[in-house]
Amino acid sequence: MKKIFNFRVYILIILSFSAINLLAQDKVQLKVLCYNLRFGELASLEEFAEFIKKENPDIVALQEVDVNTSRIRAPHQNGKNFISELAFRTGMLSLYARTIDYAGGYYGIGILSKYPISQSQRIFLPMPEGAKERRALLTGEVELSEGKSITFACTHLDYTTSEVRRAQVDFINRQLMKIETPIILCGDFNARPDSDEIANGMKKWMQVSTMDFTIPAKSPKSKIDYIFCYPASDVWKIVKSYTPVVQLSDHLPIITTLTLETN
Amino acid sequence: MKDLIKLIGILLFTLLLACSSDSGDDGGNGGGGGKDDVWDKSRTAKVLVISDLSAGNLFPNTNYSSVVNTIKATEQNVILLNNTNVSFSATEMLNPAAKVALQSLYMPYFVPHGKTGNEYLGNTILLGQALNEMQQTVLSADCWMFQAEIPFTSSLKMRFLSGSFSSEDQIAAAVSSIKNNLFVSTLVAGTVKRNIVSKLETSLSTALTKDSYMLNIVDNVNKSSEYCIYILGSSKWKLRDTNESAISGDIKSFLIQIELLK
Repeated sequence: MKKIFNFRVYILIILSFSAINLLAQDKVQLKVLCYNLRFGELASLEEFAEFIKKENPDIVALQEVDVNTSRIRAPHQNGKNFISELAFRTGMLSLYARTIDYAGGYYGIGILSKYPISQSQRIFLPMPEGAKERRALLTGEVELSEGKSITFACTHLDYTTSEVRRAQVDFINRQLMKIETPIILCGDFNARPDSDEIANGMKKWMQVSTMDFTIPAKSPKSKIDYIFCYPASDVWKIVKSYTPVVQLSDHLPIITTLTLETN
Repeated sequence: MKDLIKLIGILLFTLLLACSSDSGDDGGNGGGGGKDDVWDKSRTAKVLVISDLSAGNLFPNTNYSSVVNTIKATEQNVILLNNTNVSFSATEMLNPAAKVALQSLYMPYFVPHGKTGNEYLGNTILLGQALNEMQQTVLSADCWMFQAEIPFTSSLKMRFLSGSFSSEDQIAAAVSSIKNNLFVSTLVAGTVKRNIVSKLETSLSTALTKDSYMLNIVDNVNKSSEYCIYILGSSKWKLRDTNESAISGDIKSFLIQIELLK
């Protein structure tokens, strides 16, 4: 009888410790969307905003984001501030990084977030020989809840050569590996999964988007858009990942829902 | 006799010049570390605060045009939209300052100072350009302080900080943060609940040496509001002018001009 009692107490203690451990481990679920907008040539900002609202992501990384440009190829977007208009139409908070001056305005990358952003930085990527256009990394520290934050980063690598992109990937790694919070890095890497810059340059990261092709949107033949997480351990878990087929840009958007486990 | 009249004339003229050089100088409360008798407008930062100086949401409805018109018509270096709360549900977010930013062609930066079940309470800083770098310090639960380097002339930049305070613990944390960031170019602007202004004053005087900072409380005309605006900075800053204008209903604009003394 005494042995049975002891056994029950032992089980009770184990269960209590497990419960305490579970309570201490918080899970945060995040839906992430990454989309190259192709400077809005193929759709209106209302359509982009409607798409984003329908998908209802928590954080969005955007590339080819114009502000106040006058492009001949996208006259319907002339003078528009993409990031502020998308922020207004979705209600989300926004960040913008100008990468170059273009057509009377700016061309760059942006972030939309449902959560406040406590820190942001635009860092220009290196331009080794062969690089054609200045590119940047935009980072934001996103406060998910009190005391819990992640770094969300958006980039758009050079389109020229694998060597240029590898140098840019290595630079991004050096910048982001210094950060202590868990990281999500999204972007148009202009590189296929088997390229040196992705296969080797990003090997420390967990690639969490689908392997579906993302470009050209009408008849996708290649994947060059990615969502990466760091650290690539038990911290991040994929809940769902998909590539919606929509024709608002020459890229397809990529979406992944993740859980972040924090102790 | 003619010489005497000439002498009196010269004296009167000199006196007149001396008086006119003081015009527009509101004095301020702070020390002022440099020559401050003449207002050098080429070294002046213009902060536009738009607020109803209450705890309520600045935009209880969706009529933003009067605020947008004021922003477009006012020359300034930085805009503080007070209490542009962002509401959210599982499926929708409403961010009124993004609409103002869009219509006035500015970049919005949200600075939270509280949270309810379905709302981020906070201010929005509007800037003409996207920032290269921005930082927000968490002062206390859900209350942050914005910090960024902002140019206010072609050659001068200020370290601009902004936060809004409604409780004494927020002030204690803010003063500690300001103390660590009080450089010559540091300028802090925000709102503070009227009944804790004295706490702000005493906390600053305890934490900082008397001549190292300036603090000005910019009051509204009838001084009846729940909140007031504070301008705080190194003693190199001098408050030169405040212009209060009604925008719509209880919403007012306060154009605050502060000179960085040489």
